[in-house]
Amino acid sequence: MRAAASGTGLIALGCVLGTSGASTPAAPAPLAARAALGRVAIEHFAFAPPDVRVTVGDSVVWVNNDAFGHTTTADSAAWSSPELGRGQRFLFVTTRPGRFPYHCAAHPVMRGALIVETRP
Amino acid sequence: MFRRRAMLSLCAVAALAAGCRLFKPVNPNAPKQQPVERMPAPEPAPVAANPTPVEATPRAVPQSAAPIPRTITSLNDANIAAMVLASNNTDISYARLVPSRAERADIKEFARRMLTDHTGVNGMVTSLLSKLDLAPEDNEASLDMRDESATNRDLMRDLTGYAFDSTYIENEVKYHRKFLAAIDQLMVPRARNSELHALLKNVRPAVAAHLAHAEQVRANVLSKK
Repeated sequence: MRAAASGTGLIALGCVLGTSGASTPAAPAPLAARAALGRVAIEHFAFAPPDVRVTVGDSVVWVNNDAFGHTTTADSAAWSSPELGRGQRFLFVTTRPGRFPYHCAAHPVMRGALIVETRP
Repeated sequence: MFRRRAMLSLCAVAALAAGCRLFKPVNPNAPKQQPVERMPAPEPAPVAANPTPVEATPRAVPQSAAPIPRTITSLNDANIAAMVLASNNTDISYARLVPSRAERADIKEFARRMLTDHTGVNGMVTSLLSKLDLAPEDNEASLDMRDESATNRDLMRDLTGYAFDSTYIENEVKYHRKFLAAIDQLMVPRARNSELHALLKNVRPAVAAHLAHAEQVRANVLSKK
């Protein structure tokens, strides 16, 4: 499944990846050649680390290690993954700096923040 | 009209609390491994004319709250499995009351999540039992859970709208608090099989998150009645 985000411009690309471990989106992302990858594990009903810091153009991948379904959903509705089963991943590519709190739509007490910094 | 609904709701909450006879408050000074003792009369639920909304702390993972299960001297893995299954089936049965009785979207959404997650836990437990070739064995605690579940369901079955919403979510807070206490103070310490022990440790964050979620929803329900 692949869903291009629209509206805020924060997310250039959001896509769910399978359990095979592939981390390359279906289409090349802008700045992909020099971008880094932020990783967030979803486990024990928490995002780890709760705050992830990346630079504009970097990708962030969430991996659900729980036996329960979870989402990563921006409070601002800038992005929302579908419910991820165990081993499923969701990938974003950032395009805009800022602090973006997010939560799990299934379990709203699970919270985190994506902090996107300007590229030096 | 509103007053009547509020009174009905408060009465139902009080009746639910009175029906809870499985657990008793923690006595921090009590020594461990006390002989079995029947529950004292349950504490009445706090019934306030103007209930104060409970402040929710979204990031906090709640610790076990005050009530703990009645002291049980003998508890084996098969008993623990029966207790987990009974607990999950209890909440599933509550959630099944919701679609035709609730009016709030957040209550309906919460109940859908409880159905999904508790059904998932049951699946994990039954898979493990099958792998271990172990059959769940009811004990007094799991049987009491079923009795309590039936009592609470009967009470909620007659409610609709706000009366149902407020009673259901209050019951969810109490239910998850008790389940969490049972996991922490009975099931995890007594589980002998390492895989059952690990399963309980994996289930615990789910129950804690459900409790925090229920407290959030309860605060919203009380503040917008």
